Amino acid sequence: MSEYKEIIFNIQDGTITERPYTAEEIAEVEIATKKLAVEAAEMEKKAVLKKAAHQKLLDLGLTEEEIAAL
Amino acid sequence: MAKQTFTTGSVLTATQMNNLQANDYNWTVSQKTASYVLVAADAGTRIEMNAAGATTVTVNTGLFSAGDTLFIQNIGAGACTVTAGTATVNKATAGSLTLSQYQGGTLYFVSASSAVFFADAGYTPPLTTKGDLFTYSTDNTRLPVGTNGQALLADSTTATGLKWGSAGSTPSYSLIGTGTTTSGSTVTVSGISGINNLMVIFRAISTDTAGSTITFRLNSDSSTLYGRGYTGVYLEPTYSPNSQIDSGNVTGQNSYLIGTVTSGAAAGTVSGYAQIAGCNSTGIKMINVLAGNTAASGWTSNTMRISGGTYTGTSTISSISVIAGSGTFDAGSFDVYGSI
Repeated sequence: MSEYKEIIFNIQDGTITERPYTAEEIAEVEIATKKLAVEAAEMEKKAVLKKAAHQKLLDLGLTEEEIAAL
Repeated sequence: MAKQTFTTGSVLTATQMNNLQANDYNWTVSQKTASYVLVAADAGTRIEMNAAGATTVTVNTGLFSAGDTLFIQNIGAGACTVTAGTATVNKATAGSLTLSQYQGGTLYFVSASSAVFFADAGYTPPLTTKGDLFTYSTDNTRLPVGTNGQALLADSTTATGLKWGSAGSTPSYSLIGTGTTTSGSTVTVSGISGINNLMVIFRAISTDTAGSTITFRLNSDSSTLYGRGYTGVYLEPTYSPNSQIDSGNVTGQNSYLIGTVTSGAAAGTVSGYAQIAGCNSTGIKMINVLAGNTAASGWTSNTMRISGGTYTGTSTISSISVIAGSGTFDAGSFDVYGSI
């Protein structure tokens, strides 16, 4: 059973009700979540590359100040 | 003198001739003290109503010929109404069939079954009180003046199409509802009614999924009716060339972007506000959003977004939903303020 749901605060009668997401809504969320996972993986890869490049610059003898000025 | 009918061989007497001539200048008057039904002999005469209470003069078909004319006048305090019985009685659009005291008019027959009532200039408009406006519904009607400061508004639901009301006044906001974004993936405040301007304050909203968008929808409408132009400012926690400003324009969206949760787990939250105008109209709703997110970890950025856009749905607004693009809410709330 999905955890996705809508919570509705009705200001006319003060009631709070819940409605489970429809299959269509769940599919929409899952597509967005998969897209996020791909983006996160790319970002992680980029961060690793950035860190490696930074270390190489340090290994070449550049100071932190010089690296920042690049 | 009543209308005379001559046939072949009839003799026109001097008395008749004098009476007919006199009738041009001194019509025969038949005074009535109660409601009256016209008869054929009334053609060419004056019917004079004189009653303290309301009376009617009824016009039936088959009694008069085309061209017949008679005059109806009221000298009594009670109003007299010329009433179509079995005949048709027409009048000018702005005219009236009701005669107040000392008013009168000519009833002219265009056929045996149809007459036109030409009310004389003695018509009294329906105005009675200071500030009354002369309006029209199915007849001439007075519209009493409104209260101080009110303006005259068009309103097709009223009898006259007009009403007095507030126009262009300064909006007066009040809190109408709060949505708590600590669970669920959509949180809706429903039951909004009669509100033209909405101000929604987003307070530290977060989901459990990093990168999730936080958007809103009106009337739960997921049609692609949302569009916006925006400027975003992205700032790294420490100086970085990754900090940037960008701008753009998107249309055909199925919701309106408030911000993006960069850290999730309530560590990075979205706050800001949205102003939505025209909610109680069937026209385009105008949207202004200023919102941003806090970043909790070093690799994410702080973001501020300014956008202006539209929602082109034609229904008046009855609900606003805040939606997590991914995951479920784990922190925050939003307050909905409204003004008429």
